[in-house]
Amino acid sequence: MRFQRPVALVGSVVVTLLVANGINVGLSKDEFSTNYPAVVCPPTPNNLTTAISLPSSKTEFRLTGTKSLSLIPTQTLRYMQAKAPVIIESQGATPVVWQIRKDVWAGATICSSLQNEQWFVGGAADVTSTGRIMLVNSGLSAAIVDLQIWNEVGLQPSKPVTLKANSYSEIGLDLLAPGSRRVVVQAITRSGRVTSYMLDERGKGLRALGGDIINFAPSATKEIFIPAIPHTVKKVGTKSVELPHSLRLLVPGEIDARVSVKVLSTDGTFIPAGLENKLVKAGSVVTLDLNPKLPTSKFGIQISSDEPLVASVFSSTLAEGKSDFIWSTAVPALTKFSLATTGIAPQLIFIGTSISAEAELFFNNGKRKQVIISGEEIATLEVPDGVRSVTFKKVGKGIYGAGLVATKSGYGYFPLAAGSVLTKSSVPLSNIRVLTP
Amino acid sequence: MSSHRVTAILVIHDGALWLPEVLASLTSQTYPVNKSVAVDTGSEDGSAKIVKGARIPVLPMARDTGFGEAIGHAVSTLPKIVDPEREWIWLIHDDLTLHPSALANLIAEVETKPSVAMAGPKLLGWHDHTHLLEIGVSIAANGNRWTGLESSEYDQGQRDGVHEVLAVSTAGALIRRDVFEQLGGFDPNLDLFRDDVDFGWRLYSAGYTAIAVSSAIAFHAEASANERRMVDVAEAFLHRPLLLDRRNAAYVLLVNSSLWLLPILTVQLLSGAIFRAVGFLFAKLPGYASDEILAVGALILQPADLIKARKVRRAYRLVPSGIVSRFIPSRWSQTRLALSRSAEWIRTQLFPAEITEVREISVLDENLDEEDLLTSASNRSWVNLLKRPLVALSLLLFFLTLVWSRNRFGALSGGALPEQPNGVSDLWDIYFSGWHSIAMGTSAAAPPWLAVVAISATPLLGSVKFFIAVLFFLAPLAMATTLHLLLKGLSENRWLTVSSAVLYAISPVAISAINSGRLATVVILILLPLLVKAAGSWREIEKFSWRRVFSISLLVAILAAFSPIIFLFGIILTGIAIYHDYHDSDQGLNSELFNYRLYRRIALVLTPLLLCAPWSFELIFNPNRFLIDSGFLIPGGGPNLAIFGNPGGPGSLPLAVLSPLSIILIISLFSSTRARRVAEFGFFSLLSAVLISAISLTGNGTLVPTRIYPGTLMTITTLSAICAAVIMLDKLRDRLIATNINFRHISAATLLVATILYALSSIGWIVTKGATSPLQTGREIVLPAFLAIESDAKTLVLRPRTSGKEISLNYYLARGGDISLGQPDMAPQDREQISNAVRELTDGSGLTSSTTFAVHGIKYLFLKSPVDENIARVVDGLGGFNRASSTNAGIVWKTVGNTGQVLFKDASGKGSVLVEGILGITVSAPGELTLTENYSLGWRAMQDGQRLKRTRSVDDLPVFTVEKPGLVTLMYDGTLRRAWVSLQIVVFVTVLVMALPAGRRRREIEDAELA
Repeated sequence: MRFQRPVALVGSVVVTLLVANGINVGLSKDEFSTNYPAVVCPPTPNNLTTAISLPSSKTEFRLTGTKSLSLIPTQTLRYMQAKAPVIIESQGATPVVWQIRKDVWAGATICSSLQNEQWFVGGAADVTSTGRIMLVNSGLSAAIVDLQIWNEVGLQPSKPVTLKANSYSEIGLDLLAPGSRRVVVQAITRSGRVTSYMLDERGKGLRALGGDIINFAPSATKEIFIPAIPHTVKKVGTKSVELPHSLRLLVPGEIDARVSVKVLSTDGTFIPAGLENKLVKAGSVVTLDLNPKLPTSKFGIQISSDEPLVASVFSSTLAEGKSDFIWSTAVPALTKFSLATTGIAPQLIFIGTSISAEAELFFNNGKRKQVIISGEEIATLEVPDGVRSVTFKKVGKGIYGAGLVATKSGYGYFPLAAGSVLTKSSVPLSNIRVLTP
Repeated sequence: MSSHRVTAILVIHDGALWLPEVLASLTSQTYPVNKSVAVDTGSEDGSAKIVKGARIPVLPMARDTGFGEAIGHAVSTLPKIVDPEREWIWLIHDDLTLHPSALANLIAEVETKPSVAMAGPKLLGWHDHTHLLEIGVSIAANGNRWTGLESSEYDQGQRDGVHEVLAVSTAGALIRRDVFEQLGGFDPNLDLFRDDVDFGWRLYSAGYTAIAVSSAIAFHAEASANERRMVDVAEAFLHRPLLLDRRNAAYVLLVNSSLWLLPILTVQLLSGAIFRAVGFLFAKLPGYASDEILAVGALILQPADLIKARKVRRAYRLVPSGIVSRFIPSRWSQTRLALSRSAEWIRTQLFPAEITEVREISVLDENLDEEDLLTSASNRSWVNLLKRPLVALSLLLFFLTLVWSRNRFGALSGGALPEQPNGVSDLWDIYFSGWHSIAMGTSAAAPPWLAVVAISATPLLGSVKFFIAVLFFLAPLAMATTLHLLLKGLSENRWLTVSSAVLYAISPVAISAINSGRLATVVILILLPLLVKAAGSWREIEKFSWRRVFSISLLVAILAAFSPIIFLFGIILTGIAIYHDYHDSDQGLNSELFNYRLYRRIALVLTPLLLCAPWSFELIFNPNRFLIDSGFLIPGGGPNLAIFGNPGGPGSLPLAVLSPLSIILIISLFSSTRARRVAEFGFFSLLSAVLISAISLTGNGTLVPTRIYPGTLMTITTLSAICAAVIMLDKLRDRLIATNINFRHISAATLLVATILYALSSIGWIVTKGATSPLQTGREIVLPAFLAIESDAKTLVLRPRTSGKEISLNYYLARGGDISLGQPDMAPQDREQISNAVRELTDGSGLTSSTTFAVHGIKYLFLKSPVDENIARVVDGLGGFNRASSTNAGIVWKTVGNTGQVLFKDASGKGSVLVEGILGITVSAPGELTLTENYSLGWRAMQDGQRLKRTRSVDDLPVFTVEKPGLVTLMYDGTLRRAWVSLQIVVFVTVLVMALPAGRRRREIEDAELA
């Protein structure tokens, strides 16, 4: 046959290639394991009460500072934490911590997993302050944390802190930066599994001025979103007086920043006078007045800068006739995650150019409800009582959210951010090649 | 006319062959011989009759009479001496002819030198009159006969003149009769051989001198020494001339040397005899080997003769025997001559004398005189030299290699090549050791290629690093050279063969192998052409001599040691060949042919397996390893790259640089020449490579499934394609010119264009990107220096590895340093306990990881940079590990539990770490010793000469029960390994002896070659 050889040639090549590509003998991809790291909640300072909302009564936890390392179920949907911080295996759900000094102030935060870097923008170290930073080492080895402190003067000498294994520590802000009126603290974990929290509590003489938990920002960025700033109008006689806000900024680099602050509210989006292209000096903590004169009760801001910076908004509040203050802090973009809200019925505020998200409310009675969140610039979701968790199932791009909780003890603010994210780690394989350059 | 009186004494012993010429020359001397007398030592060939026919009186003696005794007998028959200083005896052998003026020239010289009592002629070959045999003789300290001449030295008058020498050969020696009688003649203990040197030595001790006179010429057949006749003297045990020569050499040295020199001389003689005996064994001359040993042994066992002879010499000695030391060759002279002979031998092996074109003298040249003929006819300028393909393309390849290797001048590592130890002794240590401290330790056999590397590195001052660097630098040139040796037999077109060889050196597989440090493939690329050349006609293996079979076996063993797939390929080919043999031998009816082939084929398969044992046997039990080459397991490029002749993997050519190999194979498959058969072979190899490159395996210390690198198969493919192309293209031009344009023209053009495009693009790639390959010099060391200090501490190294877009974690146990050459091949299997502990460590659940590490003696955990902060946090958080350091290199944690190489638990369960001292381990109480190494039957613990009871722990570690406090010695019993290595050495030496060219007995050498 004239074409026998070419056909045999082509056939053998094709068959070989098919077999070679098809059988893929013994090839296996690297194995990966996924899990949600445990989250750590802040300790309960003296005379404070802490309630932690949990997604399930079967959620396991353990206390720091004890020898027992075994996890036990909480058997409740709202765990009342004693002094020692708890470590919770929440399996992806983010517990919300509600902390109050009864009838004095209230604050909220989320329990989160270990953090490499945390920025706390807020608090003071002057005579009015009894604020403190709380460091929790949930690991079983000693940990080292460097605390970098900025105040209105500039960067202060850093304070390395060593934490024993499975322990926590509280450090007063007055010890870190004595006399400072405006403080920004950066906690950098050098080694160990450390999660830090900050409490701003103030008083004048015997009079309590309020307090709040200052939520952290993970890093300094050029775009900052602070979604939920409560705007309170106080009746003084017949007059309505808007309670003031102040914007605290720190440009941690060496170059001054040009900053623009945009207010997002249901009454529109605008840049308040004097807050466009504002020059902010680098290296020291700066405070700017933020009085947008709005009829609405909540608003958010977007800060744009040509240099990375950190920011938060200090707002005086009035909740059920009690004066308090609140620190609204920067949040990361909203992602799909689940938030445990048992017993707090928060108001969730979202900002963004075009807000489109879908959440599922999971009630204590086992019912579920789908909620569509949509809007321009700002949107709000009131979480009703009896909801144990809110799960964000669909989330559009460029949405930022935070929660506000108002009780008779005061206002609390927490970011809508996952306390722990699904981590994917490869299963290590033995490979002698690690010992060659 | 001189008044010297000369008596010629002719000793004959079966010399009929030479005697007519001898007698003729004797009688035609221009200086008259006063008297001639012959002594016949029992000749059986009519020699006496011939001599008598010349009217020379013959004195008959017994057949076993020695030469000295025969001379002595002849001298005793002479009349009394009248004029002592003018009476001479002239010793003539029956295989010595003399130039007519020989005697006249000798007499002329001795007449002017009164102290001379012995003079000898210049001895030239009997058959080759230009072959200078001797002009004076001496003895070296090792007993060798020393003439100071090069092997087969051509006589051009370069040694002419009158030289004072220690002695001259008795053949043609002119000796003053009174001195001869005064010294008692030749030593009766020296029947034959070396009597001349002994006499000369005694002559000097008595105050006389000896000279060699080059104007006196004689031609010597050296019949006895060259085994042209039986040596029948009484002392010649078994009639063996070499034995007698060596025995007499030792005798001469021991009886004449100063007393204080005797011990060192004895040692020298003995060691020299052993050394030469080994040499003779390698040359397959066991008889000569035994001669060497017997000669010295016989002499040393009979010291009475030596003592007596020394007494005799003392009586005649006027000056110390050391007076002759100026004639004893220095060690340097001997070394220089040995080197010169070795170099000459190598040169003749490498460049055998070629028949050069002889330019016939034309009419125009008739007027040329002889001097003109000596001048080279061709005009060899440098430009002409550069026009020669071999020179031009070799230079091109050399300069290309220089650029290519610009980052590889120095100690190399990277890719598949691990760090190398400094010296060959380290390699030998690894090779001979029964236990290897890799990870948790292994008793796996060291691969035989380590021995090949060690042997090869020895000439380079024993530096393994230097050898590896040189090998990788010269690899392209070496590949081209060996392939050219093969291609020379396929075509006479040097441009074609040389450019094909260069193409081979820059083929995708060569580039990939060099760039990724694949030692195995580089060696295969260099040696495979030699194997093909040696075994090319193996279908007709019955024509192969056994020597050739064993030579090929050795080569196959070397190749298979580096790349075990050669075993598989060899077995498959042998199976096919035996099938064909069966048909060739008329279905086995021609059993003689079938058996001839079968035995040789079996030898070819089994010998390499035996040579590589026990390593090769381990392969049989773990067949995956047949597909894995030496070194680190790094991936190939997969089947879709392999189909284009590119094995792929790190450092390989990108797909865009398309190799013409597949095109060549396809075109060759349609060729009608024998290129088709070669191409079929290459095509089969290519398809095998494609299939194999799809397979992923684990091994050589890695559990990461890795695509097989088909380097060896791709080498076979490349080699086949190039050979097919050369066969096809040879003389194709003439055929193309002679025919109209047809498919051949198109095929040739396609092939040419594809090849040129590839050559240009690959050279461009080599020049630009070739140097930035995984194989580099000056790589950083993985393990920080402070961890390497604790050489016995185990460190678990965690390191992220990038595989495509995924970053995964890998780990391995370091034992005080990075992985060294050979260690990946022996790396033990991973332990489940450790892998679980590491997995749990990284996912954060490993609360007991630290304990597991401590149990296995893992002291440190090292997270190599770039550090994954999450893992660092996880480890920090788990507990059981204390941070020891955090540097740019990475983070080091120390395991909290006390751990080390030897763990001890006393009866109460209290644990401690014991440190091994010089003498051993001191144990303070009864208890259990745990060695944190993999369990092996070879582990021993000794206390007070008793072996301690050994058990296997649940963690698979060896545990020894110590009954009482005291010193305990821990060791690994490597007897089994030593036994294997001994067997391997025996097999290797046997195969080497079989493979080496056999030495020839002197009787087997042509006369013209000897003298």
